[in-house]
Amino acid sequence: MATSVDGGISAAGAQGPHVRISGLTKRFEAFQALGGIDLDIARGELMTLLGPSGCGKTTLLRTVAGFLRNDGGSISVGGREIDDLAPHKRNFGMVFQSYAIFPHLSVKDNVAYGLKARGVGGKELTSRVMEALASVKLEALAERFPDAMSGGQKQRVGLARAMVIKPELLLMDEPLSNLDAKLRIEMRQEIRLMQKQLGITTLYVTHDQEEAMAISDRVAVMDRGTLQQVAAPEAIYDNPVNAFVTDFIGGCNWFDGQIIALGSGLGLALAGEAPVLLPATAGLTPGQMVRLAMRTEDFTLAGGPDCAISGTVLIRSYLGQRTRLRLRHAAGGEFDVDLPSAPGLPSEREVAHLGFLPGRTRLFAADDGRRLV
Amino acid sequence: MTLAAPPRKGHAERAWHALRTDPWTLVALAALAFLAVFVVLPLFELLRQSVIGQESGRFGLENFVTFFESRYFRRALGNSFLVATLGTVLALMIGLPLAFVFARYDFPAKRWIEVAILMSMLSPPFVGAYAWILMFGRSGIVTEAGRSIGLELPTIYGPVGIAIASAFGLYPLVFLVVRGALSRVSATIEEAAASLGRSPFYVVWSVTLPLVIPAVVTSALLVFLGIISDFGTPAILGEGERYPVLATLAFSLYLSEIGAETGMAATTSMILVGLALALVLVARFLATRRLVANDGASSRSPEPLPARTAWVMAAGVAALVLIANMPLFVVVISSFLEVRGVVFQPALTLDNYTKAFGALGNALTNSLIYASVALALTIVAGTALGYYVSRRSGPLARILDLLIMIPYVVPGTVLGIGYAQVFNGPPLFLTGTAGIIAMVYFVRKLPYMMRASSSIVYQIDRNLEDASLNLGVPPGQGFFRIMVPLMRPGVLAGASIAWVEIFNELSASIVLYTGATRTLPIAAYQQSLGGDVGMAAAYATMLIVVTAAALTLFMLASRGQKEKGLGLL
Repeated sequence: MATSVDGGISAAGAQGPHVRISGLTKRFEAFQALGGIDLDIARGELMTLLGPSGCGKTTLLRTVAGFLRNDGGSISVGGREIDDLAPHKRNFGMVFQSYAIFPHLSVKDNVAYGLKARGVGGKELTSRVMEALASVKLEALAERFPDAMSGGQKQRVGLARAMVIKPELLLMDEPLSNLDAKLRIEMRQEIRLMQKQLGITTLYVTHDQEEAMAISDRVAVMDRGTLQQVAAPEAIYDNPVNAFVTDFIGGCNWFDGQIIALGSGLGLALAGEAPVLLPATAGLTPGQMVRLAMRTEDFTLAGGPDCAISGTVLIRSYLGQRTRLRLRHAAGGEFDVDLPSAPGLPSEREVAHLGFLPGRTRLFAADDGRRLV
Repeated sequence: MTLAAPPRKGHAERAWHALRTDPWTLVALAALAFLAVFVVLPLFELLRQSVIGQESGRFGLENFVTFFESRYFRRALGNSFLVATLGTVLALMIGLPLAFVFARYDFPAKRWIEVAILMSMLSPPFVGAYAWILMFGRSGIVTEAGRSIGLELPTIYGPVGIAIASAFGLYPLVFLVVRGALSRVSATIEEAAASLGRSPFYVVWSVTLPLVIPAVVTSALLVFLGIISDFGTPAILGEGERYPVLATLAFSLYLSEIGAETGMAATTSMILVGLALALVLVARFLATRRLVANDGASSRSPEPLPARTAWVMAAGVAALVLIANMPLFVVVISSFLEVRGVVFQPALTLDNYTKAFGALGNALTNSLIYASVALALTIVAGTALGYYVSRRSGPLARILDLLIMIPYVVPGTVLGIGYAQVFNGPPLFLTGTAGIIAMVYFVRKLPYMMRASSSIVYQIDRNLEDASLNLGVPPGQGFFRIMVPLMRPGVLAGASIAWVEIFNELSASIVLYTGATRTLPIAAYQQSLGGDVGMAAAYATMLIVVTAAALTLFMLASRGQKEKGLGLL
């Protein structure tokens, strides 16, 4: 069934999602690699699977590609279940971390490989191959063999090879991980541009949160075989649903504390500090043990009653627009704070008094890490 | 979070699933059936015969008791140990210095000397043994020369001669294994030791040596295994029954038992297999305990020497290698010398070849046909199974890997005796046919080929096959379009070594041949065992020439293959 939906991300309405993954499980011997994944991807959307190594993101991608067979649940694309469809019949393009360029074939033949399998030949073959190579700016290297090419060039071949077959779905398995930092940023912009132009639904795997943020429509954060949060990059960063996502995206300082009754409301007591009044208290009960997550940029210099936490400056590093302080907390432990670079920042061995920026105090349950406030 | 395990499938259902989703399973099952008949069955039959008492006909260890009570049998066992120990020590004495010098220093003509070292591995072992007789035998060139000035040289027949001939044939093994280990010792480890204030000598002694000791021991065990499994060298230099070792003992017991005795040949075979198996297990144990001497940083590259030192070193190394290759030259040259009685004369002639061709019969064509058929089978099966065992996990792949490797451990004579016992009646009556010889060639060299092809598969990026699938090419087609071209260089290299070994195979075919299926190595062996010395030299030269010609062909075939890497980063 050929659908001609002019989709975009918002088209998830009546037509349903382009890709629907429901209740997907996969087990390797005793290891539960995927523990019931539910994920919808809209037509034309770039969805990134993000997580630490071993979280199951590559397993999920390879299951979608058909290289692995799911134990339970199902995957459907365009409303059709594909669980029993052999990988070579799925018509998905894939780009690999190791490039997986056929070393015995020229660049041109690499790109032509999938087209030939589809019975494309003659003039059409040549013109489509050259068109694909042009889109990755490699027309000039068509006759070259891969061994004489750089990693960036190889990955462009990989991209052209995956795109030329006009895949229903583009799968990318850490495509930029083997490139150097500068090239990585350049390539990810190219990939994003091409993906948007062609409106091709893409499932992208990475362990690099910055890359995920930069390239995605939505990010699916995974840990230990389950989805933790699926949302747009800003939402993931500003509104993480649990301690794992908070910690994995952006990183932060953690403080143990307890909720106490304070005046007419509730307050947070951190070890060694005067308790601070909490503005929003829904879902909290006095006596509850909590963990406070503070991103490095969520602090201000504050004296007197506004001071929420203080520490001795161990190292002060000037980083341009901001200055990073590493502090030792009175109750033990160290934490990092980024402040706008300005005269008058505390020096090393001084005690800094810091306040929390309003609305940036994120509290999580001490026992299971769920988001409280 | 707890999740219900997926419903357990039954074995049958799982097997069916494996067949349906992976056509390779069918190939593996066929290989399994083949190996059961041509590897397991013959060895099981020998094992069965060894535990049926020769006198009493009862089940038990009677034959083994007989073996260890007999002085003659015990002597053969002792001889095997003596010869193998002596030979191993000698091979180490030649191979270790060479390995060290090659790993550490650059000197003139290094590449050519290396080729020469590998050459000495490629000449058939019993040809080497025969050359030693030509030089130091009762009427040998050197012996005669010594006699003319009144000097009586010690005899080359017996343990010392066997050990020397074996060592010169097997030292390249020590060289290859130990040099590999030495060059993997990270330079930074030695630099670290040196920076801690140790002298260069002490660094080698305290850091480098302990790191390569497992490699040294492994290579020593391989040489030891090679010597106790060899039939041709001890048969020629031990003059058969006069200095028996286990391999020749098993052979002569088998020949004599066609009439009366059964069981003792099988028992001797089992003792030989047990010994070989023990050696391989020790080698494997050491291999798994190998120290990680490489932190991945920088492996050691050879350093240049001052010009004079380099030339002296090159000359020394070249002289050593030349001596090791001497047998080849001696055999080729003497094949063109006139023979009077059993003594070569300093006069050139083609008489030896006239006589040799006259008595050749089918030997050369037989050899070419059997070896070609076996090689073709070896290449096809080795490629497919090498791919299977390195790309599939699971019990089937593990069992196959194990079964294929068995003939690597089992001496050729033993396998030959097993074949002769099992295939001399229905349902598979193969004794005396050409098929049985081609089959034993094939089974014996399959392990080499499979190792060669699986080691190259390990180096090929797995994602290439996934990429091919993903682009819409079905698995079978993808194998031929992606894997086969990439495996070809490695397979060709493996095939060239397999050819050398197959074409020169003696120890199993000597048991299985008949008048009509005589091969060239058998003809050469028979003549060198108290036959016409000139004809023996001519046959041996023919072996060398065909081997060398085939190697040249392989090299030409693989030269066209541009190295394109294997898709790894």
